[in-house]
Amino acid sequence: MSRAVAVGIAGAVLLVGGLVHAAIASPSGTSVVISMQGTAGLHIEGTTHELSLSEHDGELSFQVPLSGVDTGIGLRNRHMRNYLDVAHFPRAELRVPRWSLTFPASGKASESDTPGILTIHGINRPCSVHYRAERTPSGELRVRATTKIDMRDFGVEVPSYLGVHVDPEVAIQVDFSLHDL
Amino acid sequence: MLLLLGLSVSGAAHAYPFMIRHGYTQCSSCHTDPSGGTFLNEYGRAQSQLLLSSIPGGGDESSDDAQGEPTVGRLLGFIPLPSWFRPGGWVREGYIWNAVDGKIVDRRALQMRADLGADVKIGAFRAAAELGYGSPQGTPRLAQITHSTTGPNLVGREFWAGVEIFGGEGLLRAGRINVPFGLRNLEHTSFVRTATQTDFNADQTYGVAFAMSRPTWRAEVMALLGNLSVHPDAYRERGVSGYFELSASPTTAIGISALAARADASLTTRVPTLRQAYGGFARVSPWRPLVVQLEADLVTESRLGSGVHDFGHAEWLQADLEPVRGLHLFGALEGMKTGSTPELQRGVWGGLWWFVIPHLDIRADVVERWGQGPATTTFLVQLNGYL
Repeated sequence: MSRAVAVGIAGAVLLVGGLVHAAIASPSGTSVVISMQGTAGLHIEGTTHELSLSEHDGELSFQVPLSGVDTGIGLRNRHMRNYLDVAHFPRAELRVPRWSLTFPASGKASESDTPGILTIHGINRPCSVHYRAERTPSGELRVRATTKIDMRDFGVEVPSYLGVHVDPEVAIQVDFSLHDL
Repeated sequence: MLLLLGLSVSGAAHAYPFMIRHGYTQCSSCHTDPSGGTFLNEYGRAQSQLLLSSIPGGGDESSDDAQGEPTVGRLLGFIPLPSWFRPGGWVREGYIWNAVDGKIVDRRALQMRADLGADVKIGAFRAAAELGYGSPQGTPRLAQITHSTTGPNLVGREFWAGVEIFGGEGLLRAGRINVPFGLRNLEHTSFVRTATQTDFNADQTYGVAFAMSRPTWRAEVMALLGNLSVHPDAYRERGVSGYFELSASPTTAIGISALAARADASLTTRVPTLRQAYGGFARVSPWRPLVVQLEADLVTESRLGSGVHDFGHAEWLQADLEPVRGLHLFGALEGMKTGSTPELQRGVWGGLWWFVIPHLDIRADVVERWGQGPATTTFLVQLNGYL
């Protein structure tokens, strides 16, 4: 009897938890590209293919582990992690209200802007994200989202190295595909 | 000597267009010359240590978290230097064998370069200069300062002063400057460089140049005012040259070039001549170990007043494969036809290039050429060291 009660309680907890924090199928074909410009035409891109997506209280939460962002040079990666203080703030997160998104029908595409809350370096800032979503006839949803931020808004020191400076404005582009959304 | 070079500060390298494999489409990120060249800025010295050499380092640099800070800013590795003053020195020695129809007809040591130089950056002011020794047999005549025909000479390939504008993205300068045209490849005897007379071994000329480097494009245009190493004045070409290159992605760049220059007595025709060159070039790294470079140029020489126009062309297709850091396998195909070489010439290059330690690289080339007279084969080994 007590076992049945325990199972029932556990089931209820899982059910309720599932309603408020639904795990969504992992995105595939993920690419997160962070673009910066600097002195004398310098262009730096940091890329990671790690992106997780979950839903919580009507918000979609996109999380990117920052330790995996690769700029192509080991020392530059280390400098970047130091600037972002990845040891204390290992992830960047974007929260977007689900109601603000338009999901296209099969074979259709939608393109719009949505407000969101971006968290980097432990600091939350509102942002606007431009996205384009396309639903394939097989049901796959292909998404490209872009935004621009000023790293100073997030308390991140503007990098400078051996006379080369990086502009504080950073462009972020995220591509992914989903099968269940 | 090897140890000394290994401990020394990286002061300069050469133009390495293959750095596009690391996302560097812009030369000015690392080079004092915004179109690439000898002098490196501090950032470029750091990249030279981090990206070019097999030792120290090796393996996948992107995962090398233990990668140490480069020792830039210290001459010979331990003498602190102010950030505004960057001295450098270069020694390139080689040995060459030339064969005709498979038979060695010439072999000798080559003194290719022995220069000292420095560049200065104080606020927006910039200047760079180098002075070198040219052996009696190895003097690049178009860059000589003294004019001994039997003894050694002083050589000055590059010296200029200028000012940065547009927040450092622009540079206006005057002096003896590399002619902006096409790929700035190290192979200065390649057909595209000889046909357009735009190598950076000796084809620099005096003039005023303006360069811009933006994240997605770069360009330079230069008023050519004549090479003062050439005498008399009638042989000096005056005109304009420039290029524009667009970065389609961090590892893809495509550009166009143009040059028009007139001399009262061309070095090739000996009569008043207008020389023109127009072309395109591209660099792409579809896979980090591989870089492909391409250049194709049309060239014309018009003998003024005679109605004679010589048309020609030159092409260069090069692949550079870096299977492990610092070790490059390369090959190239080339072709050329000009008024002075009316037959179509073709060439194949192959070789090995090893950046052993910071500031030291060794290279071996085999070049087979044919199409004008008997086939020739050149074997060249060279050792390059720089401070």
